[in-house]
This record gives sequence, C-alpha cells and structure tokens, in this order.
Amino acid sequence: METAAHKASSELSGTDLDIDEDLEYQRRAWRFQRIGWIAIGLVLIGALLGLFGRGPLSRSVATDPENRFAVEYDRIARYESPFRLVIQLQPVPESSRSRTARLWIDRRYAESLRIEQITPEADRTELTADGFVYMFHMSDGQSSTITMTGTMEHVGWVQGRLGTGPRDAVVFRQFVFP
Amino acid sequence: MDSVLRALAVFIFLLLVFRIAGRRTLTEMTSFDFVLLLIISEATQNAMIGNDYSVTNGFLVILTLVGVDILLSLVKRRFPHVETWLDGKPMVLVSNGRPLKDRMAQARVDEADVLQAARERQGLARMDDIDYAVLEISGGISVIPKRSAGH
Repeated sequence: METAAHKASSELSGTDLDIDEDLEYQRRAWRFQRIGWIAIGLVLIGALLGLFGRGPLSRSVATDPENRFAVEYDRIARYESPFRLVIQLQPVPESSRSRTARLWIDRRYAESLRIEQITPEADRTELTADGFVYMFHMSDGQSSTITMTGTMEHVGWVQGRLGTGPRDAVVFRQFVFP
Repeated sequence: MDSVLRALAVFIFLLLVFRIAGRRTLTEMTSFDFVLLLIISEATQNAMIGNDYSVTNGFLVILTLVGVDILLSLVKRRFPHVETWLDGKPMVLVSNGRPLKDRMAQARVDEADVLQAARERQGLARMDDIDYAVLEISGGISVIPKRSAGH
C-alpha cells in the first residue's frame, strides 16, 4: 500500500529517484529489530537476576548428606572472574579428640580454579592423589566459616567436590561463562 | 588461539547489537553519543584483550578484526542478500514534500530531523521545498530539493 502511495507521489514530483528501496526487506528488518530489543531487555533482566553470574539466582548452598557442612557457591560464574566459596563447618563433636578440621578439595575441581586466598589460613596443607587437604585448628564447640576466594580458570561445566572426611563429599555443579 | 576467538566473538556481537540498535543510533552523533561510543570501546577492549597485554596478542586481535572485515566485504559482494541484511537499504522518508509518517515512525526519524538535514545540507526552509528525503544506509538523511525551490 505504501509502495503504491509512494509511486503516485513520485509521479507528482517531477524528479525520478533512482533508489534501490526494498520495503519488504525493511519490514522484516524492523521486526528483527523489535525482537532484538526484547531480547536485549530479557538479557538485561536475566543479568540483574544473576543468570550470567553474581546475582540472586546464581548464589546457592550445597550441604553434604549428613548435614555436617555446607558450601555456599555460585551456580553460574564467569571465566577469570572472582569467585567466593563460603564453607560452613559444624562443630567438632565433644567425643572427638582431634581439634583439627580437615577440608579437602577434589583435584579436578582445584585444577579449574585459581585459589588465591583462604580465610582463615590453613595450618597445614597436604597433597594427596585426589587433591589438596587443608587442616585448620578448631576451638571447642564452635561452628566455623572458611572463605575461599580466587578466579575461575575453566570455561563450561565444572563439578565442585569438597569434603571434610573421607566420605562426606559435597558435590555441586557450576557453569562458567567465557 | 583465544585471541582470534575473542576478537571474532566481539566482532559478531557488535555487528548484531548495532544491527538491532538501528541505523541512526550512532550516526547523528550528539556529544553524549560520542561519549557512549568511547565507553563501549573501553568495555570492548577488555573483552578482547583479556589479561594478555603482549604485543603479539594485540597484533592478532587487530589482524582478526581487519581480516574478518575483509572477508565480510567479499561475502557481501558475492551474496547481495547478506549485504542487504548487514547494511540495510536506503528508504524514502519524504516524497514530494509529504512526510511518509509510517516509515518515519518505524525508522525513529521525525520531521524535525528531516528539516534539520534539509537546512544543513540544502538550505531549505520548509517541508514543501523538499522533493525527496532519503534515509541512507549510513544512517544520514539526504535531501533532494524541489526544482522550484530556487536551486
């Protein structure tokens, strides 16, 4: 319809415009643009919610089956971006002689991170075939929090495995955006 | 390897975003648009370079960008369809002094923009003096005066 109107008016105006117009394309391009605007809006809302890391949708807590410790982590992280794991250890039982809390990290998980800081600092670090073991001195009957920070060094799915004893592993999955 | 991939990803992303944003987004630049462009380039730079500040990485990124641009121009020559989709087509906005309102609304151009172009480029004072106004693929508006408009 527009094309017809345009033709009529171009006949009225004396000049003949040699122009490569394509209104069918134009309409499709506009539709593409509008869809694109909606897509940008959705991406931004998703980003605010943490769909691309660091937001309420992304933060999560995993606990081991026996509820002895919990790990707060980001379900979605970004490559070479800072991460933060907060590990909540339950108090050492009265019966236990040992005042040492152990925390091990699976070797494959440790390889996909660069751990820069552990707070508090571990008293001792042990290297085993399966990964690292950190030893912390614990006082009586207190639950304690260990914070681990660093950057993600692997893109894609990462499986986190941490534990305190030989059997109580917390397993969680993280997706790392490039 | 990742220098090339990073640059390629940024190239494609920017192509897509500016296609979505539309033609007139950065062509009729106000000073704020200019600042926006600078900020975008700053954000882009980090994504492309990462934490590798070596000269080699810089060279590879530049070569990738220029190389893809050359490749794209070859593809455009070969396949006119691609060119249409990437660059768009010119579109008549005003015909015989009559603004085509539907098109102007869709293209986010108003009569004031057309009149501004008419004043700046042709010294025309009124819509009536315009024979054609065309939104070019560059995003600028070109104005053809009526023969009777004193030219």
